[in-house]
Amino acid sequence: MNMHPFDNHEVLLEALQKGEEKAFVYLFDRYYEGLLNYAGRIVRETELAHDLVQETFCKLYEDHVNLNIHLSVKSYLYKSVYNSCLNEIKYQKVVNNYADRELLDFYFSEIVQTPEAELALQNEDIRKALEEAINKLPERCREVFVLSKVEELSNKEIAEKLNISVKTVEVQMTKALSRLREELEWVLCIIFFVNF
Amino acid sequence: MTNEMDELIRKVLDGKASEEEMRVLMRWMKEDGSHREYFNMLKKVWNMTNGPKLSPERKALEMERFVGYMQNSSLKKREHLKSKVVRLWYRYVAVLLIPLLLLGIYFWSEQKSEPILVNTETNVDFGKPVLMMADGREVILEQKNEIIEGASEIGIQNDSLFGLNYMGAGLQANVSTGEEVYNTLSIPVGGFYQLSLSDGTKVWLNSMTKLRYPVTFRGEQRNVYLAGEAYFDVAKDADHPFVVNVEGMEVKVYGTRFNVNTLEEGVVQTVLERGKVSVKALKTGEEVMLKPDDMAEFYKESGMVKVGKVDPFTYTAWKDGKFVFENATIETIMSRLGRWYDIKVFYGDEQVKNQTFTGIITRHSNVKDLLYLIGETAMVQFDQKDNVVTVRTR
Repeated sequence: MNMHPFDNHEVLLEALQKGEEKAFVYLFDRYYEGLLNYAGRIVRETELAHDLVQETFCKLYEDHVNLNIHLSVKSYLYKSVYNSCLNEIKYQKVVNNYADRELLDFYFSEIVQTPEAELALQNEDIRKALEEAINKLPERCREVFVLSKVEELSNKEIAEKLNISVKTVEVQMTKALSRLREELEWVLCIIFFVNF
Repeated sequence: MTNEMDELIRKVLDGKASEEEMRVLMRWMKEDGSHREYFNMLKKVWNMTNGPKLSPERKALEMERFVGYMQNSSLKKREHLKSKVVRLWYRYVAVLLIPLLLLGIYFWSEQKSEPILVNTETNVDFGKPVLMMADGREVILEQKNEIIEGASEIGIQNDSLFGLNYMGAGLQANVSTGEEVYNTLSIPVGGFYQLSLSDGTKVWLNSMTKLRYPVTFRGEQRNVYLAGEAYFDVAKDADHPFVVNVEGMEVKVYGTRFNVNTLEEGVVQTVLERGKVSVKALKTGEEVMLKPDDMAEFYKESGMVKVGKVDPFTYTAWKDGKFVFENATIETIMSRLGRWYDIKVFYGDEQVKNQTFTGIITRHSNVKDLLYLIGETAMVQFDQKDNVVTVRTR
């Protein structure tokens, strides 16, 4: 396995505080993909997600002198992205329309994914278990799921391709979600414990 | 747990649920602790299986963008250390280079004998914006990172990604205090540009647009002058209202995001996305306050202002590189495209002008691709020869 000097937290932090570009490139290379995926799920707009993550890295660079990250740089990055995303969605139409205070609180506390929950989810074992669980899905269900997640087709495109109705596609997607939950129940319980 | 509940949960997580559906879920989750647990399980799976993917190409691009930012940032810090003597030297070199270049081109073209292939595609020459400094000198803005300075101005930053940035700019020592120094930015047909003013206000300028603004804001109001179309994201400053001056009217801003369009015949459209804005007709002195999703139409002839509700996205999507058409007639569409692409339009029959089209299309560098997409959905046929487009019913 390739070891990188920046794998050592102290070495990395020192380089970051000095403003060494190499250190920031290391972070970008290692964490961009995960952060983009995370931001994309919160703001629900891919291009906006790119901009927000880019902004986070730029801010990190701008502020490098003041960096004092004790534990994990990764968790720091996820928290920053989360905050940037939250600022954005507070003005988005979907939230602007929620006149109900209670609903708004519900949305931000239960629906939006917190950075802690997100980090807990990134465990390798869980990813592997997910892959296995997907393979165990019933035929049609798996077909629809894979077309959507792997080939990134829209529900309409999937319906056309498989010669079924859009409603059926939606039902299959729901089924996939529920089946996966059943398969992964014990694995998910562990995460549940970890971040109660 | 029923299938219905699973479907509702999926809908909410996908962001496709209505307000009422959200409430149903909220109530259900409050009913019983086990309901909440169940929801969290599904939420975990949803989070593991959703979200945008990243291609290696896109990652490389974003990396380039970030590296560019870092390098430019450190360059800016180094620039401040440059002495005045060195700056003057650049100006003399520029003066010498131009005649030398012209000579070079003259000789080169004399010797060329191969036939030149003519490019028949109508491409958008993402035409170069022109910056006019206070002394009238014009600078063509290339897509690269550099610092621009003038007789009165210092520290204007040109960034290949974010456009022109005045946040670190200032005035030369020779400029007397109290004097407002203006620059003008002109965007040609097919152009598009982003600009940051000295107070941090971000402006997106559409094609065929001119904006006149101070290098640094002094004075009680922050005044800019616009002809064309621009989208403003105004930096908050309660003590100094931001005013967009357009022929015959003023848009006064209280910290917000809005779009102003003077390109439609005889009318100025102002669409408010968020915050608070007032539109004032100078002839009548009438001032109208706008709320988000309001659009004010100022009629130049009569000096009247009309306010209605719109979906701001339709009017501001252009800033993100898209055209949005909502039940727009082919005639409206072609006139709009005419601002971006160098095309002449002829109609094969009268009915085709009134065909409508609804959709969102990304700007293409090639008008042919764009017309193909519209043609596919509407019952319209586009025939293109050089820069002449003929439109007829399919």
